[in-house]
Amino acid sequence: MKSSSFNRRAFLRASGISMAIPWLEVFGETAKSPPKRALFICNTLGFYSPAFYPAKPGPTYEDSDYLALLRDHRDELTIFSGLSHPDQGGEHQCEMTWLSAARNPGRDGFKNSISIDQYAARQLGYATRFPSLSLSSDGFMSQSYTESGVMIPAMDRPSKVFTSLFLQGKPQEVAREKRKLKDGRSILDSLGDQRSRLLRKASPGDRQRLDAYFESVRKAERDLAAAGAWLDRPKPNVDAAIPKDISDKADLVGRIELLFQLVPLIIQNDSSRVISIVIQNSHGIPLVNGVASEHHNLSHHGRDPKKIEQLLKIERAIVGCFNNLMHRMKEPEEAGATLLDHTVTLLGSNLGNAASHDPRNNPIVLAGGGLKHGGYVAHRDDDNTPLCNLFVRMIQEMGMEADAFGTSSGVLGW
Amino acid sequence: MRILIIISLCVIVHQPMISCGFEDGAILPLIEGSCIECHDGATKTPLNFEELSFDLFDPQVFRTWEKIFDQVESGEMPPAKKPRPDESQKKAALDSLAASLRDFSLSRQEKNGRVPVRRMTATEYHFTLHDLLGIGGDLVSKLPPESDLSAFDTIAKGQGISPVHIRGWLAAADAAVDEAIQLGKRPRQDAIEIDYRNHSYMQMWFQRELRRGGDTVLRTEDAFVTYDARPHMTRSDNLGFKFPVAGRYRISAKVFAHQARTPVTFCLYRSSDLMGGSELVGAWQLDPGKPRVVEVDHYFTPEDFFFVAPADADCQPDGRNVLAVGARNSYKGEGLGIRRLTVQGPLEKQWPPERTRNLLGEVEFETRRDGSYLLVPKLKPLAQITEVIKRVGPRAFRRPLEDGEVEEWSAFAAPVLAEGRGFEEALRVALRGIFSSPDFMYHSAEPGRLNDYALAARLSYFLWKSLPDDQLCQQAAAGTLGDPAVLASEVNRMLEDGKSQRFVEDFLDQWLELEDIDATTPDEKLYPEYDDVLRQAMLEETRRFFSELIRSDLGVGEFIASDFTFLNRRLAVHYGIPGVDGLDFRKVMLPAESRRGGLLTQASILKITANGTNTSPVPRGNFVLANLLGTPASPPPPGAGAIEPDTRGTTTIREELAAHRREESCNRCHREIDPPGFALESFDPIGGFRNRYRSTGKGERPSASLLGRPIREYRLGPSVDASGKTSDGEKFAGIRDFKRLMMKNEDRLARHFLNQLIAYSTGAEVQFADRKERDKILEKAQREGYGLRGMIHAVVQSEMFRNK
Repeated sequence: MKSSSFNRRAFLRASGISMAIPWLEVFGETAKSPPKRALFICNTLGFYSPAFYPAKPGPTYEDSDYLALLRDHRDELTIFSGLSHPDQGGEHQCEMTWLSAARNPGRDGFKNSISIDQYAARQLGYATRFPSLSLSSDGFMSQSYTESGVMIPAMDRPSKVFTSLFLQGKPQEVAREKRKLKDGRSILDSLGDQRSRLLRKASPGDRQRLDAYFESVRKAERDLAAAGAWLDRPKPNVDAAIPKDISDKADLVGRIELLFQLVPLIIQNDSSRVISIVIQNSHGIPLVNGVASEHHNLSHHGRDPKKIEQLLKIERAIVGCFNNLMHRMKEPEEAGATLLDHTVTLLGSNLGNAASHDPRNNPIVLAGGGLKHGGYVAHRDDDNTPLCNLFVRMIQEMGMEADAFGTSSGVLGW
Repeated sequence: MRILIIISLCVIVHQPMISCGFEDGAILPLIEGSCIECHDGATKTPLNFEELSFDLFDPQVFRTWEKIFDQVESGEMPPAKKPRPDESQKKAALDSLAASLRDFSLSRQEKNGRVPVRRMTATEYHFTLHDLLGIGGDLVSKLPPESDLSAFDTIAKGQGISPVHIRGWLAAADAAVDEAIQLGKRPRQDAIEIDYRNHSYMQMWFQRELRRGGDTVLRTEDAFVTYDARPHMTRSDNLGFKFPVAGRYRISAKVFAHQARTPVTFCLYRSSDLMGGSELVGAWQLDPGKPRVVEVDHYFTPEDFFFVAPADADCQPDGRNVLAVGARNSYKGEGLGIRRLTVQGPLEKQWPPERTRNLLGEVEFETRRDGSYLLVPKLKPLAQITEVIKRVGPRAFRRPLEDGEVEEWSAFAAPVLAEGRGFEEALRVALRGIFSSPDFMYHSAEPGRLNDYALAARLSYFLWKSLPDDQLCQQAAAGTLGDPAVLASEVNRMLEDGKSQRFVEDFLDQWLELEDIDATTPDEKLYPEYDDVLRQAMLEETRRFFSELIRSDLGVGEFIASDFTFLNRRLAVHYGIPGVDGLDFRKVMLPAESRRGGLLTQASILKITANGTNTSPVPRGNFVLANLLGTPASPPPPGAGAIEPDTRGTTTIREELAAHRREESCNRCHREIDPPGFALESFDPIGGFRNRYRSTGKGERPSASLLGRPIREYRLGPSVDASGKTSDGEKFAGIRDFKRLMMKNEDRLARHFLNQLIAYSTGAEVQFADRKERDKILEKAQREGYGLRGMIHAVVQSEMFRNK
């Protein structure tokens, strides 16, 4: 069932927003360079690899179908093949482990582990209003998982994200929100006081489980306190209108575009330094010219050239959104460099071949972050290099002291 | 090799904390004689005896030994082509292993109980607050989704907890209390007409040209007619209607099938901009020349809107639809006509509503100037809050309050009162505290026998997904619930109650994965007949079928083959079964040679096991093995290529699989997986019967018609071959034969189903120490024909259910 599409293209223009350097304003830091950020984008239905990869690796690769769309950024990005997480499987279950690399998703006894974005966010804490932001083009499924393997629901309404980041709210609303937070803290505080009473009554095996509850209460209380502290600081003023959500799920491109338009605003205003975006495939025929079938169905193209042609159209549109994002990330400058220079950016997928649900050989583009770019780096397709090696490199580039994450076997260099 | 294993075992034997007995050597001769040859350090299998320890405290190790026991006991291992182990050697080994596993399992149960303390699931939280507060709004979406680590979200072991949960509960409790305490202005109670024919918003669609999106609706002399299923035209909010408060509303409509030669379906949907999708509230069949007045009560919140749409409306006799002709241009296709549509509600007997009064107790309501209400407690605020806690607490915690507890909970409200924020706000804080607390969120108990309160709670969360009602609480208070006869009569009463539908839906959503019905949307070209009415009917069939097995105590064999099912016209047409009219569901006896009957041929199951575009015998076969028989195939070895389906109409998946199966490493599992899947090849991804595959390539046009026109969307592809050979070498020609062969697995199916019931209801899978009791239940059930109701009773009466 399709619903009406609203004025879907009318939206803020992130470009042309001139502003001071907010991370300095807010914190009065004396830092010379802006903080480093990380952006993770996953297209869960993969990219059709013949259209994604150039024929030959190296710095002088010839543009593939999709890379031709990113030609403007050739010097700011690197293409990787032969990377993936080991021991994945199940049909689309590797979606939930793409940022965590937990082994054997969906199998008996599986438990997810912390995702790389949450790992980074944990180190940064509430240095920004949001330690991390998990966004989705459709629905609440994210790829962000806590240490205990619990998913952090994604936000899929740009207007809501924008509101929480940039809209001040009327004084009585702010006051109400503050009261709510304070009540929440007071409730959690009182609940914490029940710990000893309840643990005393519990059997030894249950004691541990209940303690996990109280540990969560403690952490939630800390989160509310930090969030409350941010309520006292005014939100940044941005010269942009609140985005109008697109309720038509079929407008995949419009929805991705709205999310991508938020990214430069988030980064420029230092609202968060870790962003993950998952591009979902859910329902309806994408409103892309020449496409007459659902995205997921097309990904199972069964080698039908007519279906592949339509799939390419969808994927080109998605790569096109990424191209727009890259342009926007390069326009405004801070401290003499572009936003992109300070944002290590990953675009990829958990599926190497969606038609057969193959989780190996993930298509990967790395951009920005001040890294050396400009080539296609091929790893072995029959014996993949852990994608976590790249994750480690990314967080190292963010300035974190880490030499391992998940299934990493080293740090990726090129 | 021999030396190696002795060395490794020696090392292990010296670990002091091991209390199990089987390292005494009774098992070694078997391992050395029959296992180690393959399962040694050089093995490619997941089992390597040289590294396997005896440390049963390690759950992974315990599970491995349990699997070894099962495979040796069933004769699956050593494999058929290897020499048989000496029977006495095998028996000695198994006895020793079983004793150790049982003793260990028992000692764990004695120490901690069978089931670790279990958290309420999101579904249980939702229904608990519904029943406790008399509200109806959705709370599930406010909570973090349950992980599907275990077979059921009720299983304690797989339940997660994190700050995300805590914040989710605080928010959900807030929303629930908001809805319970309604002090706003009294809403109108009379029926409000949504006047599609005359409303100014609609005039635009009447007048606008076809190419600009209009002209698919019509204003006739005395009615509004729509040929269009898109929501925006008839959205209630676009016609100026907003639901003032959350509550139940009655929608009544005088409707008819316009220009109809065949029945047309009137669909009413609820949606909101927040939820994205839409929920089919009701669907009614309108026969040509027979106007109807239909009425439905449904829950709406202020964010919701509804819209109406026709389904099953045939196009013009010449095959053109409204988008090709235009409504005003004397379009002759079928449509939905509405003479009058009204909304009445919220359906409250009084205002502020009953639920608000019930919660707050002895308070007075003063009307403010703006029409809203001010609460005036009769007691001092803190005393009034204490009074509410005394009433709500025992129900929320499913037990009487202990000494000092009332004070402890009232203390939550104290800081708010101290700030001078008054009774209502202070009460809200106390309630949010209660609804986020461990006493509320966790089903706790002490190891050993459950007391009657804990028993009442376990029972009511099993069959109602919510807290015990007054009668159960009274039985618990009187100490009579534990009496087997009382317990049995309570089970019967609860199954008769409408709330047991929650169990049916929640259990089937997980056991048969019905919750994934929308995981894929059927390809519009290949399956143009799929729509929401059919989707709903698919789910309804399976739920009604399952409910009927419980109601009439029919056996698990019906899951494999039954001579009846539940249908309405939409589903009967889909199945090609004549003589079912109207959209109400009813039990239909199937002709003797029908392919339908049993779970496997229900469209819901066939849809869930397909991917929307095509079917593969692999997921379908694995569904049979995993979900029905409880013996899922091992996952493919790392690096095994997946089957890449080909819908160009040249090769069938069967041909691809045949190539796959020539590999011995693949064939070992695929000879079990593929046969059920082959038998189900006769059914397409939406559960329709097929002789030929549908194809997007070249081929014959189908002769069937759709909505009064020829089918243009797809062609007919290769013929379907649903024959095969089971792993025992028995041949079948298609689904009917296969079902007959499958009946041999009735015992396995019964055992798996019983295991599922035990796991779902108690919160823990069947453990080694439970096997004896489980097998006893199974033996008795077998004598009684494996009736579902009998099995539910047996589970509730079991020691597993009655102990922590």
